[in-house]
Amino acid sequence: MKWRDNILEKILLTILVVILVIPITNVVPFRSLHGVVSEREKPMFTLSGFKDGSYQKDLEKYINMTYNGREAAVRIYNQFIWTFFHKTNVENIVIGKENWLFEPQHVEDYYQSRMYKYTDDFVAMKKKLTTNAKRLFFVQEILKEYGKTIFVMIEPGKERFYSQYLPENTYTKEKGVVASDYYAYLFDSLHVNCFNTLRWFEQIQDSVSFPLFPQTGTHWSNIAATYVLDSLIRYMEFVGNVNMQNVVIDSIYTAKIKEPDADLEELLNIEFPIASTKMKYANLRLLPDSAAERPRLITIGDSYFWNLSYQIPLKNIFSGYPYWYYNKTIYFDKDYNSTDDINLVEQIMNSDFIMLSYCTAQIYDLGNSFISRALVNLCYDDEYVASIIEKIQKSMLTDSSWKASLQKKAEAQNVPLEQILRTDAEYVLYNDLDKYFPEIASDTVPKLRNKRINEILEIQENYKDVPKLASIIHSIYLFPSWLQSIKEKADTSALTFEDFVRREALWVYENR
Amino acid sequence: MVFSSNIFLLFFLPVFFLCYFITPVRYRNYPLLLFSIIFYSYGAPDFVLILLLATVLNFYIVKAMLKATTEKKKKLFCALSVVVSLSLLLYYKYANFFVENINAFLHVCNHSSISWRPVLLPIGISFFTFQSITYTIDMYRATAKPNEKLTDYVLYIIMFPQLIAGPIVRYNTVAEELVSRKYVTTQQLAGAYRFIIGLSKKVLISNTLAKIADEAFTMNVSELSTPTAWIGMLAYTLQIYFDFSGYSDMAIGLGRIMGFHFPENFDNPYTSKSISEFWRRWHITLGAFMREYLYIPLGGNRVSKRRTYLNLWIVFLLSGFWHGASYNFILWGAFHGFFLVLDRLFMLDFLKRIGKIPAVILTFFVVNLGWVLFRADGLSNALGFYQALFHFSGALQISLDGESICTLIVALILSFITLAKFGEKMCNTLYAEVYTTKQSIMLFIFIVLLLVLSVGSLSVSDFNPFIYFRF
Repeated sequence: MKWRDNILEKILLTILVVILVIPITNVVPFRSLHGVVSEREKPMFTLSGFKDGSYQKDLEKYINMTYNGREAAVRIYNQFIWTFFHKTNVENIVIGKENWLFEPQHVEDYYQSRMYKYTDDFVAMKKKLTTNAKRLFFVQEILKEYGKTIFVMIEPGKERFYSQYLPENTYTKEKGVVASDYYAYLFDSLHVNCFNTLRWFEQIQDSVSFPLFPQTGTHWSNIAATYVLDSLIRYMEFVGNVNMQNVVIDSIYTAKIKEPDADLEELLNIEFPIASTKMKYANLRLLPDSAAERPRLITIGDSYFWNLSYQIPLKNIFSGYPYWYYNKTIYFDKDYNSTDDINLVEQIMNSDFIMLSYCTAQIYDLGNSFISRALVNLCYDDEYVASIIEKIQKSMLTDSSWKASLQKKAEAQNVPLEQILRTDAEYVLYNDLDKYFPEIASDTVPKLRNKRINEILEIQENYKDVPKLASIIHSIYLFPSWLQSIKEKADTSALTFEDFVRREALWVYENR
Repeated sequence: MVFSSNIFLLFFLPVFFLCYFITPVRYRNYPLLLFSIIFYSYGAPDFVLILLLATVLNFYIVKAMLKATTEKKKKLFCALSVVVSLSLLLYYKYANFFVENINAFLHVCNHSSISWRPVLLPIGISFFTFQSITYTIDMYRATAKPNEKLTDYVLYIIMFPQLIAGPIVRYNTVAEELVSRKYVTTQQLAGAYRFIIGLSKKVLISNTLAKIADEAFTMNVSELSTPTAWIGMLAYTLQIYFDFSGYSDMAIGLGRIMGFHFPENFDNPYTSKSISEFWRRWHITLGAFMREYLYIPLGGNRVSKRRTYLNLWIVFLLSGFWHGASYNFILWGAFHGFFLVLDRLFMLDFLKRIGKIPAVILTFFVVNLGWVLFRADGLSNALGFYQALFHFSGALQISLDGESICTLIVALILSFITLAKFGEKMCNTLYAEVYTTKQSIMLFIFIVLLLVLSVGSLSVSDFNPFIYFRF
């Protein structure tokens, strides 16, 4: 037989072999997938694991997530099911009519079933929202004493403005509490500062010439965010009685779609675009104003804030703008840190504005415990709060079943028992504030104040000619290794940890 | 490790082929044996040694049988070999079932139960047993030459393409190819195509149908509506076919790449015009095994009519029991045995008279009803499911999306396509080994697409059940 016989078959067979070999090589680079991909560690081989089959299971999962070419195979498969069945494997996306994409929580909010994710009870939900609003009012009034402003920005949800594209027959309208509307009512009646962009969008939706939300994105469109930023600055000037750097929209233009206007579509990980690849955008510029102040803003909230930060460098408007994502992770410039590692009162007192920024679907858990924590820490001394937490921890450890569940949890999360104990004790504390802090349960603003506030204010007064001090302190908190070294020094000294942080900040300021 | 997994497709298979094809032709059985042992160890590490020991033992028992000078001794060795193979099957597959039943009986009689640690079922034990038995009996009957090399015999028993789910390969089918086989590019390419078609049948069709079937069969039967029960039953009927025939395609395809010609296991079974025909088209190698090694030794149809019917029933009861140690499987076997007897009595004539299409529909309906016993979890659930099929009330309780509906339709079309001439022609083209250049290129593109879609589907989902894995 000559080598030229069946040459086509030989070529085709070779190509098949090459395709099969690609995954075990790294010669072909593939475009990575969008979205969160859970990192998988290569399983360690153990004889017991091999015998009971757990090693094989882990290995298969690992290979499924890591083989070379997975990106291409997944993308082609996703395109196939999208094209032929109008379907996606992404759990967090609802496909609406005419290829409009939504997040399920927004659809649930529209159909009034979102509250059932938080509570089974209609009355309990209202009570929860009312208590939170009342506590927020207390925090607002306390901060007012110190010249600080806290306010809520209610962000609009796409479902409110493009409900005609919501899928049919998937959900039934239920009789529930829609938190954004109920909070708006509560804030009005309690006089809580609130910048209600949801209401504002409802007013302008028929008059604007640009889409408030993109077809395949979940957040407000880039151009809508531009207008929000402008209005936000004006609102802050009004509510905080401060003159800030203003922005002006020079022009509106059409361009290739920019991040995050198609964030949901990106998560679909398909090859061909499903919506128009062009959107409207605005050219934004700062108005020169030498007298303008640059206040420090803490934002606690959901991902809508990212889109505001893309419009213009926020450092031109704010002296600092740390973003506490769901009150869990602190983002500032390119660094991030955990809210567990900060002193809350210190952070609050070193800021001018605190914004709780939540959209219709996320506002059910407004503040993500920030409000309760702020109220307690503003009213009660650190030592007192620590003693209550210690008491709760002791009771947890004396209850054998509770202790066992904590140990199990610690093992599952691979963290020390002390850490779980602390987290759970805090959870118990902040979920039953009235029990542990009766003063907070009353209908009037608590009179008690944490003595630490005055200490901080004193330092601020002493160093008022050092405006950078606060931002240096903040920077320290962003570097775990720096923090650790300070903690070690504090442990062997009579001074507190916070005192050491301030000393370190001063040293940095004076020496650099 | 199943064939329809990324670890097999993207790691085991390429590494195996690399080792296999760089080895000189005359030594290629060694990498195949080594990788078969690795493949089996991966799935049943505790059982691999027992399997190898039993195989080696059997090899020498058969050798002794062949050397035996008297018929009596020969018979004795033959029986010993069969007992060795069957005892493993009985212990690993049926011990739990028997102990459970004895305990239930003891409980009724107010006696204390036997304490028993349940035995785990090793993968592929049923196929291993059947392959061992075919070798022993074929040698006893002298229908094939004995294998001289122990390694070749072990390879025949545990060759990875067919060990887990068949087809059941009779020794004389592959005896020559175990010693020497030809590598023809067209056949290898056809083998690769066959493998990928099988893979996509399993991953793209069966897995999708499995979700519908699972939803229906895991519902509380007292709340099951008639439309849900019918859709669930139909989905399962199609799932099991595409699952098992897909796996057989993969095994046959792999064998073809390596130069083996494994027997066909399915021949469009749902186009059968009777249950008798169904069993000539469904799991063909099991049917052949049962006929050759059980039905004929029992007397087959050369005995009285009554005895023939009894033989048929015994064969199908045992066939049902082979599928699993539960009363559902026994009843499923009895159910098919009953219809086979009916065929002999009058059904075949009746089905002939009503015409091809009504006969196919009627047979398909009976097969569907049978699968309920096969799938339902316990007899009471099966009974409840049958009630749901015929109480004619309620609305569909499963939300069928576009993919489910489309897959159901495609599966139905593919199951019956050979009833039409163009369908038969299409299948012949698809499974042919020689194509025109245009056909070759078109088919290649189609096959690569199927491969990528299957791998993609496996990559995004953990849901990959395999029905015949437990047999």
